[in-house]
Amino acid sequence: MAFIQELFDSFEAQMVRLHGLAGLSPPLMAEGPTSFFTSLNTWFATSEARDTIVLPDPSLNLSLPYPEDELRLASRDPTTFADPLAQPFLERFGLDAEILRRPVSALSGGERMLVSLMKGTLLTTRGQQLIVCSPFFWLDPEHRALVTSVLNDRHEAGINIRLMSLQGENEPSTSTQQLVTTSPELEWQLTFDQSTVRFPACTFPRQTNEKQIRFTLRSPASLRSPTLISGANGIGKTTFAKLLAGLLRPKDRRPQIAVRGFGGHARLLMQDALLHLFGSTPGGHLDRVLRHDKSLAEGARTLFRELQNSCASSLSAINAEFTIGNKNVPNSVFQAKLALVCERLIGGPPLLILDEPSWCLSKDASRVFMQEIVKAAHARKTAVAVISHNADWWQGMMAGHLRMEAGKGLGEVCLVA
Amino acid sequence: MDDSTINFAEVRPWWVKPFLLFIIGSPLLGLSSLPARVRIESVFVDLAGWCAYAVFVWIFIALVASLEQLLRWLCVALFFGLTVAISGAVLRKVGIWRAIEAFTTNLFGMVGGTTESLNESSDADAKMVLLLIRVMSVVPLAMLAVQSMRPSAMLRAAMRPSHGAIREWRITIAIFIRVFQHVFEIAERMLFAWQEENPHILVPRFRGDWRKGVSFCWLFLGWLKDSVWTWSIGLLLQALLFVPIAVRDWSRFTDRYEQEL
Repeated sequence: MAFIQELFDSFEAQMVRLHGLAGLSPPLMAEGPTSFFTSLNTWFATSEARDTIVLPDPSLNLSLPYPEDELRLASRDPTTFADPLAQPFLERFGLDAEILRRPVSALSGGERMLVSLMKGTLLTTRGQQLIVCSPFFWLDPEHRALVTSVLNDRHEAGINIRLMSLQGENEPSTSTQQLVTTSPELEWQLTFDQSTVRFPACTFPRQTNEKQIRFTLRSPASLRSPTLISGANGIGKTTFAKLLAGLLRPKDRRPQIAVRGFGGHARLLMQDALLHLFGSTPGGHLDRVLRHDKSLAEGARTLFRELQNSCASSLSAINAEFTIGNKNVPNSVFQAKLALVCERLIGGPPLLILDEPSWCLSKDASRVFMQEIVKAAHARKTAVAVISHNADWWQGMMAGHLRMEAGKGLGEVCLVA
Repeated sequence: MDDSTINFAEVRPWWVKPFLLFIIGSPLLGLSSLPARVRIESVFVDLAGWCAYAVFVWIFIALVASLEQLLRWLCVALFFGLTVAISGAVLRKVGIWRAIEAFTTNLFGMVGGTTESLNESSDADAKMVLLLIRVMSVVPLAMLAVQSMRPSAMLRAAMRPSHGAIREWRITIAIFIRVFQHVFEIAERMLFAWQEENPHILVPRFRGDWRKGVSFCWLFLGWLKDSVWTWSIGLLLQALLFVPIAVRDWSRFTDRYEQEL
C-alpha cells in the first residue's frame, strides 16, 4: 500500500493542516512581526511534537552547521542505518560524501532538502510518523524519483509516511522540448566565454576544500524572454544568477547581459524569497525600500495593486475558491512574491531572474503569477529568466531555454542556449 | 588557497582555545594595564594603546579566520560601533547618558573597566572614540569565540550523563551558543538579500528624493536608523524561528544517545 498523500491549493492551507495534524507550524513570515509574535507560542510547542516533520523550507530542518554531524547524531538508533555516510545510503539520495562535509550554508537549496529528507528518515523509527511537506520544488526529476522511492521503502519498512504537497507539485515531469513557443516578445543577449566563481578553502571554523565553478558559453547567446534556466541539483544555477545580479564577483570575466542595447545587472528574486522581506509584510516592504523615492514608490504601489487584481481574477477564473489572500491570511506568500517583483520591476532592470518562483505556490497559482509578471515585465522592456526544476509547469509559457550541463572537468558547467 | 594561517579548529586539547581567547580578550575585561577610561592628562597615549590592542586582535583574527572573514566581521562591528557611538552622543546631548553610565557602573563594576567614579571633566569625545575602538575589537573577537565552538562537540559534551539539573543547564547553554552561531550564519544569507536590495550596502538603491535639495546627511541618517531597525527585527525573527528547531532536534539527539547507552 502506498503512503498517504495530501494535496493543497496554497502554502497557507498546507500549514493550517500541518498545525491540525502535528500541533505545530512555523510562523508565516509574510504576515509580518505582529503575527509572528502571536504565533510564536504554537511554534515554541514544536519541541513537544511526536512526529518527525520535514518543512518546505529546508533551512528550518537543520540545526547544525555541518550535514555530516547532523546525520551522525540522527542515526544513533541501530534499527535504522548504521552509518549515514556509507556510500549505499548516500546513493539512495543521489548525494556524495564530499557534499556532507561542506557547511550547510554552502549547500544549494536542493542539497539542503536532500539532507533534510535523509535526516527525517534516520530520525523516524518503526511505528512513528514522518510528515514531509513540499519537498519537490527543490529537486530535479532524477532526485524526485529517488526521494519517492526512498519514501516508499521506508513506508514498507513500517514508518507512517505522510506527504503533503501543493497542487501539481508531484506530477511527473515531461520533456522540456515542448516548452518552446513561437511567439517571442522580448530578446536578451548573454555574452561571455568563461566566468569562474571561486569559493575558497577554509580552516575556520572547520577545514573545507576549495570549490570552483567555471561557467562557459561557446558563443554569445540571444535568448527569448521568458527564458527557462534548468540544470541538475547543485550544478550552480543560483550561483550563476547571483553572478548576473552582481552579488558574486568572478575571478575572470563577468557575464554581460543586454536588452535592446541596454546593459546592467539583473535583479534577482531568490528562492527563499521571504528572506528579502526582513520581517515586513508585502506592503511594508514596498514602503521600506522605496521610502526615499516617492515617485517610484507610488508607481510600485500602483503596479502591486494592478497585479494583485489581475492575478486574483485569473485565479478565480480557474477556480472560484482560489484567492491570493483572504481575511484569514491578509498577507500570503503569493502577495509577498508579487510585492518583491514589483519593487524589482519599478527600477527598470534589463533582466529579472526568478529563482524557483513556484516555491510555496500551487501549479495554477504559479502559472498565473508567471503570466502576469511576464506581461508587466515585458511592458517595461525587462526580460525574465526563470530557474526551475518544474519545466512541465511552464508548458507553453517559456520562449527560450538555457540549459546548464556538467562539463568534462571538475566544476565545469557548460551553458547551452 | 585559504588565507588563514593558523588552523584554530584543530587546536588540542579543547581547553586551549577558550584559554587563548580569554588571554587575548583580557584587556576588554579590565585585566590589563590598558586604562578602562581615557584619562584627561593622557588622552592620546590611552587611545593609542587601545588602537594598538585592536590591531593586535585583528591580526590574530586574520591569521585564524582569514582576512576576508575579519573584514566581514569588521563591517558588522563598524555598523554596530557607529550606532552605539552616535546614539550615545545623542543620549549625552539630552542628558540621559549619565543615568545609563551610573547604572552600568553599578551593574558591571565587578568585571572591571567601569569602576572609576564618574569624572565631570572627562572628555566626552574621547570617550566615544574609545567606545568605538573597543566595539571594533570586542565584536570580531566575540564572533571568533562563538564560531570556534563546534556545535556537535558541544552537544556531545552536554549530553554526557551527570546530575539532571546540571545536564539541563549544559544543554541550555549549548543551545544558546548555537542560536548565536545560527544568527551569524543567517546574517550572511540576509546580507545577500540586502545587497540585492541595496547594491552599495550602505546607500539605498532607490534614493531619488535625495537629489531634491533636502539635507543629504539628515536623510542618510534616517535611512541608517531604519536599516539598523530592519536588520534587528530580521535577525530577531530568524533567531526566534530557530530556537524551537534546535531544542527539538537536540532533545531527539539526546534521546537517541540515551537509548544507545
